[in-house]
Amino acid sequence: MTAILDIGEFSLSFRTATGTAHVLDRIDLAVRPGEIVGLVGESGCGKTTIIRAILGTLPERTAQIGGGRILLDGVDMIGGGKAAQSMRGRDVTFVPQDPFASFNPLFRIGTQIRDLMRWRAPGPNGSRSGRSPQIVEAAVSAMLDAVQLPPAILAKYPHELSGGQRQRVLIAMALLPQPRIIIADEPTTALDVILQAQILSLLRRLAVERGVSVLFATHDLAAAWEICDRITVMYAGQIVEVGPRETFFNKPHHPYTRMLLASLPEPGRDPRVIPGGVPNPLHPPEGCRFNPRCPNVSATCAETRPKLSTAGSDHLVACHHPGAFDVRIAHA
Amino acid sequence: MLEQSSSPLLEVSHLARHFPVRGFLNRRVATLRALDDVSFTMTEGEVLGIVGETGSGKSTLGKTLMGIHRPTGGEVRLGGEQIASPSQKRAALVRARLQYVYQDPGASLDPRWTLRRSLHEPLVIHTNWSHAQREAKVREIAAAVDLPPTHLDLYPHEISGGQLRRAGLARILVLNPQLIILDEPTAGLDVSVQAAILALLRELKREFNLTYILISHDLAVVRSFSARVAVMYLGRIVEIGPTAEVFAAPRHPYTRSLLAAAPRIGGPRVTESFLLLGEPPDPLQLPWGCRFRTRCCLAMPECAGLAVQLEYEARHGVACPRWRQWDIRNQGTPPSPGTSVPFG
Repeated sequence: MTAILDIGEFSLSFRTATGTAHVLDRIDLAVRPGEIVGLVGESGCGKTTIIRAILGTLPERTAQIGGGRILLDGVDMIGGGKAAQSMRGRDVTFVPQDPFASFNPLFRIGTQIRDLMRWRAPGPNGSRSGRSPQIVEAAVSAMLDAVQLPPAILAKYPHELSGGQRQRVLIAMALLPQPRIIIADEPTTALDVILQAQILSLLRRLAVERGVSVLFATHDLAAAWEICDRITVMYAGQIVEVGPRETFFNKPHHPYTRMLLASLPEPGRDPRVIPGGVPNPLHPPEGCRFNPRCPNVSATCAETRPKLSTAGSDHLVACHHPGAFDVRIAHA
Repeated sequence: MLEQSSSPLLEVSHLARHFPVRGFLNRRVATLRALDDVSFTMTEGEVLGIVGETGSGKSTLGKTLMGIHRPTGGEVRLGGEQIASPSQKRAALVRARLQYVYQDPGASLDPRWTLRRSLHEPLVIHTNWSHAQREAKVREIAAAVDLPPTHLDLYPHEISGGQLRRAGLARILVLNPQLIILDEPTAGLDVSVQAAILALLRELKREFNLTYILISHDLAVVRSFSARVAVMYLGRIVEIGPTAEVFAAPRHPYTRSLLAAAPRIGGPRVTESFLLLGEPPDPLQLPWGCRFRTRCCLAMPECAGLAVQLEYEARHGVACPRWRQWDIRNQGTPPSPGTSVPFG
């Protein structure tokens, strides 16, 4: 099955006053049609940078693309061509992290949705012309119904809505253009557990019903477990492990992934700390970027960067010595 | 409310804090009942977790205990001595015995002061020690939180985030507090950093015999860190008890749905079965009687008329007269922990 989103060997760095920050190092990432893929990693690992590269919102002056490709449905998204621009907001839409800062406070919700429909939404039969206001209204009210909001919300201003309602409106707005893929950047970080369960279930149900793919960036492993079909883990700008949800959580291969899972608080035991800190992107370690913190490091790790290689069915891991150590021993 | 045989360190009884909502010409148009009739006790060395959604009054409770808000009703006793009531002004001595840790303790350091000066400041205010005495204390505490002595001459921007957090905690510990209120100490942190903070807090508790109130919306953190937990909903404690008991067999319908909503790695997808709809009601127009009844599946018309009180069975208190109906409703099968509860 060809991937809807295909990122290969993509590298990116930022020019800063103190040198070049190597933020993404040869990223490989694929999202297949109708699939929900979790992009998991700690803050600063480059999740948001990948998303901004796909959406074309990188700062032009400082971002330097080192090579590689980002293909969305076969269209090159980094060349900056017209085809790529017309896909953004239509074939690929975005659910932001902060539902409080993502609306224009001066316009009613209805106005903001209608503006979106005017510019981005396809008309009947997929064409972009010949839409009557009635059809637009019908599409909007059907979508509000799908995200469980009353139509009265259209007459309200953003400040009159609660956080959960705003996130529902944002999901509705991401779905209205009938995209192929939705990119969600930590959509529930600002919400409570009950709202998180409501929003995640909504997102998952609508995506599955409509066959829309989702790239779900998060640092919350439990949320990734909840909604994803496949998980991709990043560490300091490198992809370290890719696998289906069950085998990923039951049998993680990469030392970083194992230690990350062991650092979750669980009843009956102290969470285990990963020694050391995240490397400075200005001077990332050579080879595998996890090697200074890895309990299982060897000379090769600091020289050659491990390639993503098969470690099970549909399971890839980038490690020279995968699965060769025990977390409990490493922490003893 | 006798829960413990030893004399309690902290006694909170019928504590309330209401905020006036003012409209045109500063007229009082409504009252926000952020905290209503909250009672509990804590013994020394205990860790009490307080969980609840945004707006449930967790932070208001912490700040009222701390004396940042003056209570509208009720009283707080620390070691038998009354420290807060509606008419009382708080003495400086009490402030030193109780400390409040904000989300980012490092942010409470003055960016233009060296760490040494920041760590000396609480002692300058609260004691009349000589400089040498203060310096000895500061060094002792810095060593306890693993802050190298050479760092005392640095400014906050010169040290890493983890060390900043240690320095912020050291500033709180120099006064030898008895009770520390931790307000969302792990919110927004990555799991590996979170694990380091929790380990540090645990170590300090052992070393200084501290008592913690842990305010958090992260159920996993509360579950692993605190021995007792109180669940709040719209300004009231709806359930309180030993953490293991509350998590294994929650009684209040709200606690049940809160626990059912938390995703658990390895468990079933809660998003496929979780059905508690809606959001909490407007805090300015709270429902009469039980405040959860508008979303509760056990609600009966009489829930509106009840003055719902916490009822204790051993150390496990629940503010719901109908919680025993749950098992009958669900064909006698109590929901096992972690699995989601069909709701509706």
